[in-house]
Amino acid sequence: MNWSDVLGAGALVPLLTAALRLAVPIILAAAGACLAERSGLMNLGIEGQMMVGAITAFVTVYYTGNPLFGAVTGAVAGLLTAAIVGYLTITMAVDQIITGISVVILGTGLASFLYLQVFGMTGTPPRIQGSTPVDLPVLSDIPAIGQIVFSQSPLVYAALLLVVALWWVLSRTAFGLSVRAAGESPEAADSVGVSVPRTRWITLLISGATAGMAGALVIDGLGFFQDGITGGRGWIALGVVILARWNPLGAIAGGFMFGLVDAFQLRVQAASGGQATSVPYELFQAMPYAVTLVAVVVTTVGFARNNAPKALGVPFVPAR
Amino acid sequence: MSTGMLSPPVAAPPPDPATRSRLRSLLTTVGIPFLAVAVGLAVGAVLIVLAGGNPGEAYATMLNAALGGDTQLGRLLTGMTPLVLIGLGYAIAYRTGFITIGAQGHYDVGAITAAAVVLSLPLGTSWVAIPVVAVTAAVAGACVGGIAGVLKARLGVNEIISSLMLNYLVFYALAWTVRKPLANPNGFTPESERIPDWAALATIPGTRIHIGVFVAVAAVPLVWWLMRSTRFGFSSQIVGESPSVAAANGISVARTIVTSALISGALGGIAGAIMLLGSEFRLSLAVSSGIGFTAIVVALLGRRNPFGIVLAAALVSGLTLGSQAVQRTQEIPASIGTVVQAVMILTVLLANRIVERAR
Repeated sequence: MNWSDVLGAGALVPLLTAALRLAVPIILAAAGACLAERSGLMNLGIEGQMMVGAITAFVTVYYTGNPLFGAVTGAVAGLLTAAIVGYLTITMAVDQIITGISVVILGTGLASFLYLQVFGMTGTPPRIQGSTPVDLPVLSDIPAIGQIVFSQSPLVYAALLLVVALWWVLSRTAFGLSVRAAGESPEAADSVGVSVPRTRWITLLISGATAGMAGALVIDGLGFFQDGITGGRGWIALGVVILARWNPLGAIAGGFMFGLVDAFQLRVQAASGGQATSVPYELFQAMPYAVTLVAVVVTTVGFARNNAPKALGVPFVPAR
Repeated sequence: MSTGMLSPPVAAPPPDPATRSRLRSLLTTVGIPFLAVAVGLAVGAVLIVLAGGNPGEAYATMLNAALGGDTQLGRLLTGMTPLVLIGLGYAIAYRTGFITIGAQGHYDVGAITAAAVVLSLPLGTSWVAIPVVAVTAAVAGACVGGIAGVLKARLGVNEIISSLMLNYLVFYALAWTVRKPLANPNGFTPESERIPDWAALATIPGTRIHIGVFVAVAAVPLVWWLMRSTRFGFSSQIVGESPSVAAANGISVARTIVTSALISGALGGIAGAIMLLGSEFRLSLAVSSGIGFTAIVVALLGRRNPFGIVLAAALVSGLTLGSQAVQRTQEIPASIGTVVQAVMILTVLLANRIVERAR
């Protein structure tokens, strides 16, 4: 294996470009989850919402050929799946963790059912054409950065803009203030007239939509669908929320780290060309998960003050 | 006028509140799971119709695949075995408030350990092999489970994320094991050599029921006893309800969490070893097939009660076998089984909450 294919100067820009592309689904899902968690709601069903979003987007793109439609239908499907979480955890105040895990099981099963329902069990697996990169005028001419950030697919731009918009909503708007109040002190928020259930419903549906769109981005990058296609990215996104210290902009950095590790391991595998190397390639495949684990541990230990919203995971029942 | 008028009318004795609440709790204990099954099967029927099948016919096939004869019953019992063991492990962990989803990793590492032991050590007889495998697989599972436990108890690391990441790490260790050190050179897909005959679990003559089933049978009362009658069982309940109350009463929260993580890991490891030596006989990627999540359904549907878990495991195992049969014979996707399971837990959660509110 030739390490300069992976680590040489000429390989750096393509590596970072791939890293951003691979990171964007996680960044998007994590940013949505940040918003929900800041309102006090733990949306553990993200992996399930991603799976439902991925299959919905796959079917859409397969029949329309338009990746943008896929992103939209994927987002809607994720939102609808999140509504199940919302009814149980917000309206009925059921335990958020168990509900979330159940919705992951539900989403995984539904996605698998839909796939076989639409495409059957036969022959070669169907493929879709992913979205093509578009060079943004002027910006893409910036050396290195232009190639890495501004020569991506329109879906990547849309996702990153959404993440910035979520940050803006959370930190700069009146609604963002109610979100933070609902997550830090729901009783106080309630007493000044903020509807905690309504606020949590909105953030949860946004989180579901971002997770669904993230699923659409995953299949857009891969071009096919199979069971377990999201590969734990929904769970990684929840880890990234912790790394990001519940800030959507932080999710960009945290998600990018994951994307970088993923891009790196894919390149190492490609460079070794399936030949026997002294280092097992499974070690590289496991890297994104190992890095997430280590990063979550380091973040948890490294900050003196836990930044988690105080009412995170605590059901709120308004007094009548 | 009857003489009854002379004495004060005897009013019906007011129902003893304790009896009434016991009756209600019995009704919900039995009623909610039944309701959940009914709702789950109803949603399943809708999916079967969508898939172009006939629900009556599909459910008949399922019932037959689960209970139709001795062979089917044997498969049901062997399928239930890992679900019961892992479900018990989850019940112990969840009682302590340790919400792990790491059983897939414990199970996989148990299977890897069992395969490695019997394929590399010339133990020669099951009388030696079974205890050695049981101990090593339990220790391996407990190590993986213990990592998430120690991270949670000592450093406050979210166990949901850590246990799930550990599942993936173990999965890639499995992938490497079947590709390299234990690879079968003649296999078409990555898999290990078949385990030696002496290592296979003994079966009841004429059936597929292996002795691993009895491990699960023994574990059920053991875990029940552990929860009801031991110091750990008491501590784990207090820690699960309120860590601060536990700490104020001199219970070590960290030690209780780590203990429950170790026990649930060990149970998962044993489950993986039993499956390998009793049913699969070869290590392959197919070992890692989502049982970690299925067993969560079992633990919750069984209301974290050891005996409830047995019933739930029978139901879930039957559903899994049944949906596979339906996929083979009627081309209805087997994943309806997964959807039905999820709908059942969601129904339980919702119904529990409605009953709770009505009080």
